[in-house]
Amino acid sequence: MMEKNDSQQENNLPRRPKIILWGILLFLCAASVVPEFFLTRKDYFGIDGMLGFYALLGLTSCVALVLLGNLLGHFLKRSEAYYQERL
Amino acid sequence: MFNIPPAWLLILGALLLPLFTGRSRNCFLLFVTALAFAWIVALEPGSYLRVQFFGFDLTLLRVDKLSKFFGYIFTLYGFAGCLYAFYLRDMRQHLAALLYIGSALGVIFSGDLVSLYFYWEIMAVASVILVLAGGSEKSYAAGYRYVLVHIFGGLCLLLGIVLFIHNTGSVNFSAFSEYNLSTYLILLGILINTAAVPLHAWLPDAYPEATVTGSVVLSAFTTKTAVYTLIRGFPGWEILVLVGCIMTIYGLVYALMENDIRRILAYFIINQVGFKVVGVGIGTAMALNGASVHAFAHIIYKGLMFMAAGSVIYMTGKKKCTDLGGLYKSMPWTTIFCCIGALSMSALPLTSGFTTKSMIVVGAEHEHMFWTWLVLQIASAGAFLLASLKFPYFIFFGEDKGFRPGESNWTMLTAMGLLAFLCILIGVYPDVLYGILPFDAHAYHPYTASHLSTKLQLIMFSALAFFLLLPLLGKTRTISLDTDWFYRKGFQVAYSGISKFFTGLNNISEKSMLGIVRWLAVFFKDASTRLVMYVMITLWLLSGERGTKLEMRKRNLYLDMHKGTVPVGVGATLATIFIVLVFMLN
Repeated sequence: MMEKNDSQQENNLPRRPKIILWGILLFLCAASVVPEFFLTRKDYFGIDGMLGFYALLGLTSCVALVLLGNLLGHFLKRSEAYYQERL
Repeated sequence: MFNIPPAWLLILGALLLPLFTGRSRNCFLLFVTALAFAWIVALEPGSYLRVQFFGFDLTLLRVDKLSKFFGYIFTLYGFAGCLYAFYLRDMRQHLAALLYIGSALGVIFSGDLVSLYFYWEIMAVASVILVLAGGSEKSYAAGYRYVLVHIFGGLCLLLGIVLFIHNTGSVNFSAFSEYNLSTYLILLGILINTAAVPLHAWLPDAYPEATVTGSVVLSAFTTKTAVYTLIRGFPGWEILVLVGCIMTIYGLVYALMENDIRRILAYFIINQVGFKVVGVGIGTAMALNGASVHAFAHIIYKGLMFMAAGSVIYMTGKKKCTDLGGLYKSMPWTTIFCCIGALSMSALPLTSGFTTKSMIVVGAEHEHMFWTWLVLQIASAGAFLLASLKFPYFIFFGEDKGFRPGESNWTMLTAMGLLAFLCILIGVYPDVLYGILPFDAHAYHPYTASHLSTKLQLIMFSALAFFLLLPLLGKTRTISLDTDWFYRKGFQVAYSGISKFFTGLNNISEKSMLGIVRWLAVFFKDASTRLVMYVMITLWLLSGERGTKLEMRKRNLYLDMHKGTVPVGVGATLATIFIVLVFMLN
């Protein structure tokens, strides 16, 4: 009984910790770009020497992958009984 | 004294297995795998046990840095797997697992193509048993398809080997330098085992249908043995770069769509093996070292993730993301170990992925392969998003479904802990592996400021993308169609299409033929009656017959023609007249 109440309450995180967590995330993102100002990085392909290239790469590749996955899922997803195994 | 192939140790162990029962059998398994590990440490480099077999010079034991390297990780992981499976009492699975690991070692240490093929096929058989041990209808169906695919792969390999021996006369297994039919066939056979796209569908099909411990054992050996054979036989083959790049992205995109947790992990295998295949394709010493060392780390962290997933399935009975969530409260250690494995997969600094996967990427950088490098970086970012964030999130965090299963039992936790410890050890002190690298390349130092900073950027912004896109990342109770559609539904659809076409054609011809014949029969039955009636009625009309007498005569004639013997008489008369005419006219 008690456990059921527990799970219903904990479904959504309360507001304040969420903002704090976002703050931490954004801080870490900024912190990862800061060293670029002080380093001289050896770049192999020209473009990867650009400031914040890897940050941009990470963000765009993830967004692209998720969108691609969702798009393909639209065409390729079927119900679980699709193959109707017959032996 | 030590020149016995380690494979024989495990196979002998498998034969002795029936002598043990209950817990002593599990202890024996641990003993055998540990013994094999120690044995491999003691092996000296060289080629031993050359025997003659039907005119071929077999080399049953070939020890060098590469085979020892793979031998270490196989036995180590075998030990961890047997520890994880300590609760298991199923003889069949223990036997299959020992034979499987043993034959994998056999492939690694064989110096010629014939014994390679022999052990390769034993691996296939043993792994099928592990899939079938899952016991459900789906396991049997998946095992059936697994057998078919591996028979096909095995035949390609055999054909290639036979052609190769015929062409060159040598049975030795070393780097293939010629690009001809025989080597391509061997490559095809091996690529099927590496789960190269598009021949990969057997992996996400079969691995989730094995038992909890079965998947743990299966996850490591088939694909990594194939990677070993690629490193040994096909270094620098450029087609592998393309195949590997496709694999990395394909695995991620499909993992995004899947719901069954072990199927997601199976697609992650394809993704990570793609990195190794690219490494082999690049072919430089750095890249080949990267592929080997990545295989070492991958077996550990992928095994860890399969163990964690297996524990979740074992304790909750649920295997789909949509059914799971909020387990971190009741399975805290499993959560931690799974996260360590997942973070290693994403190459977070201080984990094994960081010190190993990056060697392949550096290999691409040194060879100025821009697009390859770009694909590998994209795949790394995506792997972080999916493996470290999404995978643990849906199972252990996320929406709490209210389960409160117990924590996994202590042997499972010890095995997971051992692997997690190794993940961190290799990450923090990579010289453990760098000291035994199989190829000579200039030294690699992963912990440079620029590497750390770029990696952290990649990771943090992938994390940002994850939290921004979280609403789009929901799981659905569906499956996604993959290339196995072609031999599952595809053949069915084609077959029923062909069947319908030809049946329809049959029906049309039947109708038309019978129709014609029927019409002809009716026509001829009535034709003579009509002819005679016509003639007689004209005669009667001309002779003045009218009224009821005419009708009666008509009816009588009709009845005579139909029922009586008149047609016979008429026919005979006509025939006689015809013969007389012919005779006269001649």
